[in-house]
This record gives sequence, C-alpha cells and structure tokens, in this order.
Amino acid sequence: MKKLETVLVIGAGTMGAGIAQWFTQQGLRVELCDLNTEVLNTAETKINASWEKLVQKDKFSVSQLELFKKNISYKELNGFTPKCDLVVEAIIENLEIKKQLFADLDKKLPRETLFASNTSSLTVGSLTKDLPFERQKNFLGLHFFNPATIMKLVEVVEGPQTLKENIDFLISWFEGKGKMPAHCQDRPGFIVNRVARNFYGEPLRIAKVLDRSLIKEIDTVLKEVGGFRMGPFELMDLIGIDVNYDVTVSVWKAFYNEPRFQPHQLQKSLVDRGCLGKKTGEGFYKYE
Amino acid sequence: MNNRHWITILTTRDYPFFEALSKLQQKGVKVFNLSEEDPFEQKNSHYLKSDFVFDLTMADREKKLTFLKHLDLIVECPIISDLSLHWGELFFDNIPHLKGAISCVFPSPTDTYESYSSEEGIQEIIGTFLGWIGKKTIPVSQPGIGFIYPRVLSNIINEAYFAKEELLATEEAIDRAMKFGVNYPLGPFEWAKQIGAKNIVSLLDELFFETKDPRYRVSPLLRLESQGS
Repeated sequence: MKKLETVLVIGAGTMGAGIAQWFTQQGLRVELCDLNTEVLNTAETKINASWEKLVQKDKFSVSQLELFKKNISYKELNGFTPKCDLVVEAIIENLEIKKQLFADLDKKLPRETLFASNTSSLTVGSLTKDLPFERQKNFLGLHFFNPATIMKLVEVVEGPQTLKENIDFLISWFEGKGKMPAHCQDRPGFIVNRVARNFYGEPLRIAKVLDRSLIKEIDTVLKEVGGFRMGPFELMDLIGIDVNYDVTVSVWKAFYNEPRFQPHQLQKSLVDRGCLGKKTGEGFYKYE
Repeated sequence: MNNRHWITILTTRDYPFFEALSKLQQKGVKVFNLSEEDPFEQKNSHYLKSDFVFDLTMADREKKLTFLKHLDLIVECPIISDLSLHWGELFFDNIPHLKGAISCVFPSPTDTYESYSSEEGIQEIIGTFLGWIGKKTIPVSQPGIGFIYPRVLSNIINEAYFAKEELLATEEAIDRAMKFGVNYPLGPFEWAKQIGAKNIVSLLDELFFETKDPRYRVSPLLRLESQGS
C-alpha cells in the first residue's frame, strides 16, 4: 500500500517553492532544498508572506499556519533527510545537471521512493536512461503549472519504465487533494506545451508583421469571442517573448522541424532586438 | 431595422443558428431554407425587393462562389455572407455586391462573433441582425482566411487530434490539461464537438489550399471523424 506523507522538493525557485508550499498545505511534511542559500531564504520569505496573506483572507486559520510552518523545513542540498515518499525535482532545465542530481539522489534515497521531475521540456526517458532499472520503475514526470498553489493541473508523465500502479496512485492522490491530474505519455511538450503552440503560432501568422493595431485586434477577438482569459500577444509579453520562443524552438526541434510548430520570424526579430515583453518595457505592446 | 428594411435570409438546415433564423419569419424577415427550396427558380422578386440579403449557407469554396456570383447578378442590394470557412478577400474581390461578412460557424463561448464590412452602414445592419438572434458582434479590420477565432481554434483542435492519434493522452486528459493548465474555456475536444469536425476540416483544407503551407495538414483522425459527422 503506497503512502504519501513526506516530500522532498529540490530547487527553491518559483516553481519549487510553489510546489513545496502546495504539498505542505495538503498536510504533508516537506523539505525544500537548494544549493543556493540565498534562493532558499527568498523562498522561505515568499512562502511565509503568502501564508500570512491567506490567513488574513480567512483561507487558513492561525493554527493551520502554525502547522504548515512546523511541517516545512528549508535545507541546503546536502542536508536533506535521506528518507521520503516522493522527491520532486524543480531545478534548472539542463539535462546533464538534472541527470547528475538524480544519480546522486539514487544513491541516497530508498528504492521505493518515488522520483519525479517537474521538467517541461525534457523527456522522462532522457532523465532516467542511466539510472538502475528498478529506479526507473518509480520515476515519472510531475509537471506543475505556475502558480503551483493555484493552478489545478498536474501533468502526470509516464516514463518508459514507470509502473502503472505509480501513475494510478498519484492520479488518485492528486484528485483527492483537488488537483486536476492529466495522465500523458513521455513526448516532447507533453500536453499543454504542445497543444497550446498554435495559440501563439497562428496569431503570429495572421499578424505577419508588427502591426500593433492588428495585434490588439487579434487579442481582443480571442478574448471576447473565444473566451480566452488573455490574448496570445499579451500573454507572450507577460511570459517573456524569449521564453515563449525557446519553448517553441524546443518543441519544433523535438518534432524534427514539423511545420505545425515552426517558430515565426516576427517573434525571433523581437527577441533579437531585445524587445522581450513586459520585463523590458516593450514587446508586442509598449509599456510605460 | 425591420420597419425600415426588407431583409432576405438564405440559409440551410446545417447552419448553426438555423432554428433561430426560422423564427425571424415572425418578424417579417423572409427566410429561405435552401435545403428545401431552390434559390433561383422561384420568387426571385423577393431578392429584388430586398434591402439586404444575408447568405447564411455552408458550402465548399467553388459552390459558395458560384452561388454568390449568381446571387450577385440578381440582386441590387448589399449582400452579407457568412465566410467563416473561406478566404474573405477572395470573395470580396469577386462579388461586387458583397459588402459584409460574418463568422458564426464556430460557436463562441461568449456568444460574440466577428464581422467585417466594406461599406458604411453595413456594420450596424450586422449588429442589429445578430442582436435579433441573441448574439453580439465585434468588427474586425479584415476577414482573412476564416477570420481570427475560427482560424486559431481550428489549429489548436487539429493539434489535439494529432496528439490523441499518437496516443499522447486521452481526449479527457487533453481537455482537462488545456482547461486547468492554461484556463481555456473549453477543452479542444469539447470545442470540436460543438463546432463539428466537418467544419474544422473545411477551414483547415481552405488554409492549406490557399497557402500551400503543410502546417495546415489535417490530422487523419480528425478527417476520419469529419466524414462521419
């Protein structure tokens, strides 16, 4: 009988901190680890500030807040307790760095511990190929969406050797906690980063050039007619045009230059000019 | 508008708002169901008397062009056509009386539909007409191929079908992922069921035909479904 009581989250950036916060809110004991103490301290401050706000809004009681704080601990990477039910990796999207981390974790954690990566662009198969076969059976992808405490979706990615019982267990567990898990196979972009590509790619082809009035028109139509919360251009500006472009290129390459995912010159030209969206003050729109 | 203008609507049973349009007869609007009546053999006087003719039929490019060219010879009033599945500019170039276009074939979750007009006053007529059947409109600067919403959506749905075909995930999982991961109002398969696979394939084929860009290649699974729908 599988259980989920203790979670080790590695990587205290935005995603890792959000994932750790969410698991803590479910009543689990969580250790959040990072190589960088400064990143760890920032994560602790942000998580605590978020909980204080939620208490003010009556989403949690003071006693719940105390329990959360008791149940989460912040540790440097080498200081984690070598025993947990699940480890979720949320570090930089670099295959070699992730593989090295998992090789180290494999030596330190029991075989029955479930290993998961929050990767959005690497396949589970590429992360596990050098791990022992028994470990690969307990390895899967858990792709959370930002902010992890609010967004309900978790893509539960079945690796080449993942045991079906692990997938079933986690899907049922997440459903019980109010998340909306979506089971998928181990392919580039999983579900969302693949199916959503045309939400950006097709509007870029309609716009063709940086015609700001047409860009605004496209955003308005997709919100007012399509019911989307944000238009594709304002969303790219928010995410970062460079970030969105990199994901597009990554999916396009992974599918051997499939034309459906082909990046658009308009997006590339903005990246080249350093117009990356809100963060630089200019992208598809201009910001004060 | 009804007190001042004589409106003729030409439609077919497969048009999304067919039932609502039929009820407009009570408002004195002349509605021809072309699934049952030949448009050009009888009562052409109705067209001649009209101040506006709405073409709300669904057909492939050649049939629709031929039909509108024929209609263009008969009428002397502005024609407003649903060009959801077609390249609007091509139709405007070929049909002199075509002065407005709407896009209502892809149901909108907000009941709002794109429209385009090439002449003053037409936008107002379109807005009033859509208001009669409980819909809102948003004007756009160009019709393009399939307007904006149908074109973007048909490509998202096509990708979802490719993903299903390749066994990436089930329909339910894909719908769930898009609704709860990126806040889509509907999942791609839920949307496809409302629109009809046949209409999605028609638009993708039109995009492919006009651009010759392989990005518009239709998922075989979607095409198969369109042949049953």
